[in-house]
Amino acid sequence: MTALHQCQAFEDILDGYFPLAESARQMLVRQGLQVMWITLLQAPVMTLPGLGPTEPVPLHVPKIHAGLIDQITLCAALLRDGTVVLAGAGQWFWTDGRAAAQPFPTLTRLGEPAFVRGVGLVPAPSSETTTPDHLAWTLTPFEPGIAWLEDRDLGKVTLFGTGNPEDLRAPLPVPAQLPGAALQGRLMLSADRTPKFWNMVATSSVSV
Amino acid sequence: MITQKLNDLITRIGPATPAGDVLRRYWQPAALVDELQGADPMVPVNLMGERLVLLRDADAGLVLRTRVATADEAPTHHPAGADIQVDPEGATYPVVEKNGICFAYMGPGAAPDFPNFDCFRAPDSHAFAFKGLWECNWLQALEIGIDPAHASFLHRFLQDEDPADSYGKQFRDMAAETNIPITQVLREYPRPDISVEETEFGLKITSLRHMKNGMTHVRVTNQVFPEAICIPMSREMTITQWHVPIDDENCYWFTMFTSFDKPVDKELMRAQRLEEHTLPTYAPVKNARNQYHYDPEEQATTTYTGMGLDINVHDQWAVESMGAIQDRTREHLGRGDAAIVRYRLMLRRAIKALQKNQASALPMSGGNVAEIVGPLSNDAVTTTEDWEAASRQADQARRAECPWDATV
Repeated sequence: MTALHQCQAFEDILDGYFPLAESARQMLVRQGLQVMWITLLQAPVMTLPGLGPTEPVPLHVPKIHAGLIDQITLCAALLRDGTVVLAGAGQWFWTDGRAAAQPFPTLTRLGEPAFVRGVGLVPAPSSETTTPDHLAWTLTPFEPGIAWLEDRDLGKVTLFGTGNPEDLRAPLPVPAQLPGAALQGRLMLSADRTPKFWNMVATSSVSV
Repeated sequence: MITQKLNDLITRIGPATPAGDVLRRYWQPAALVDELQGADPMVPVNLMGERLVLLRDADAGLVLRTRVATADEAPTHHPAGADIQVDPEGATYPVVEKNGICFAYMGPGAAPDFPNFDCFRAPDSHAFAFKGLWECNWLQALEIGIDPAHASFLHRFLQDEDPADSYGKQFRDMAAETNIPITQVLREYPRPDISVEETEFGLKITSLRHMKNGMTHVRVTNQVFPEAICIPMSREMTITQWHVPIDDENCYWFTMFTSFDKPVDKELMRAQRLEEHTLPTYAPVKNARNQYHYDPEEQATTTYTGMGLDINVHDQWAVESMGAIQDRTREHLGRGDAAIVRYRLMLRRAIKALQKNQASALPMSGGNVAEIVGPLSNDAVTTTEDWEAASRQADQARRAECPWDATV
C-alpha cells in the first residue's frame, strides 16, 4: 500500500504551563500533523515539585525548579492511541545549578510560551493504516542549517532549516526507541525552496 | 512565569549586565535638544545606571561625560549646571543630535550607523520630540507598547471625540479614510488577531479587527530592537518611542513625532505635554502619589481608567502598577502576548550572542544599517481578503504625497 504524506513548514507558539508533551500534542493537533520537528531557542522551562502532570499551574507557585533551554531540536509524534512521544537533542541549564547532563525531566513545562519553527508530516488520508505504533530516530547535523533525520523503520528523512544555522543543531544525537510493532517501509523527501519556507513533499511505501 | 534569576537576566541594565551590554550596542536617547540651554550647556543625564553630564567639548562637539555623584543620589536628581563636577577619570561617550533628541553611544568600539527610519529622514519642520519619566523598569515599559490588544481596554473611550480636536493625540483620529473614529473601532472590536514577523530591524506586528460587512481594520505597529516602538498616531503622523533606562527601576520614554503631511505645530505639541509634565525632570503631573488623578465619575462615563484623556497616563499607570521591576514569577503569558513572546526570544538570543562574542548576530549589526528605511506603520480599513495589500497601498500613498522624501 502506498500512502502520500504531505510535509509542511510552519511557525507557531508552543503554549507554556503544560508538560512539554501536552504542549506538543496540542500543537500537533492544532497544525493537523502526525509528526513534527521543531526548534526551541532560549525558552524558559520549569518543573514544579508535587504538581501532577494534568494539574494546571497555580497562580501562586510555592517552588519552581527553573531553567533555560539554550536550543533543543524536538521531535514529536502522535501515535495511534493518541499519546505523544518526544525525542530531542540540545542544550539547557537549570538556574539552581543542577547538572544539565541529567535527562530532561518528562514533566518539564515551558515557563513562557515559546515561538518555534518546524516541519511536520500531515497524516495520509488512510491514516489508520499508516499511523505508526512507534518511531525510532536519530538526528545528525549535516552542515549548518541542514540536518538528517533518520528513522530506522521509515528510512532516511532530510530536513532543511530556515537558513539560520542556529535553528537546527543536534550536537548530541539522542536516539529514542519505543516498544511496539515495527512498520516496514521507506520515507523519501525532496525539497523545493521558497523565499520564506521550505516546502517538501513526501511519499512513503508502507507494507501492512 | 520565570524565576528572579531569569527575570534579572532580561531586566537589569547597569554596567556589565547581560541586557545592559545589549542595549549599549545601540544609540540611546540621552536628552532632548530643548534641554540644551545657552552656549555652554551642562545637562545632567542619568542613563543606564550611570551619572553623566551632556556638554559641548571644544574638539568633539556634544559628548556625555561622567559626573561626580553620590551613591544615594535620586534617579532623577537634576543638579544645576554650576553644581556639576565632571569626573576626569570617568567614561566619555559620543553624542549625535537627531530631530530633537541627543543620542549617545555607550558601547565598545566604533558607534554603529543610524538606520534611515522616517523619524530620522524627516526635516526638522516635520518632527517633534519630547520625553517623560516612568517610574518602572524599561522592559515592562516597552512590552506595553508591543501589545496590540490592550488599546481596546486600557485606552477605551466611552464617547468619541470630534477628530477636529485630535491634533497631537493618539487614537483620536478617524480610522484610515473612513468616518469611523479609531476609539470606536477599538471599543467595539476588542479581540484582534495578532501576527508577528521578524524584520531586519526587529518585529512587525499586525493586528486585525474583523468588523461588520466583511471589513477589517488593520493596524501595523513595530518593535525596533532593542527598546523602541514605531506606531501610527494619526493618518498623518507616526510615533517612534524609545524606553530608555535611567536605572533598573526608572526609565524615560523619548518620543519622536513624524508628520507625513503638514509641518508639526511644535508650540501646540509642546504646550500639550508641558501641561502634563514638570521640568526639569519631565516627571508626570499625574503619578502614583496622587492616584493618577483617578476620577470614578469619569470612569463611569468617559474612560476605562478614569485617569483622563491622555493615553500616555493610562500606559504609565499600567506599567508602574506592576512594581518597580515586574515580578514575572507570577506572570502567565497567553496567545495574545505573541509579540512579547517573540521579543523576549530576540532579546535572549542577543544576550546569548554577546556572551559568545558574536556581536554580528545582533539585529541591525550588519553593514547595511543605513539602508534600513520605513518602517510601515499605519491604520487601514479594507475588505477582509486584501488587508495586507491595503496596508501597503495606504503606506505608499502617504509617502507619495509626503512633502519630504519618504520613498522606500
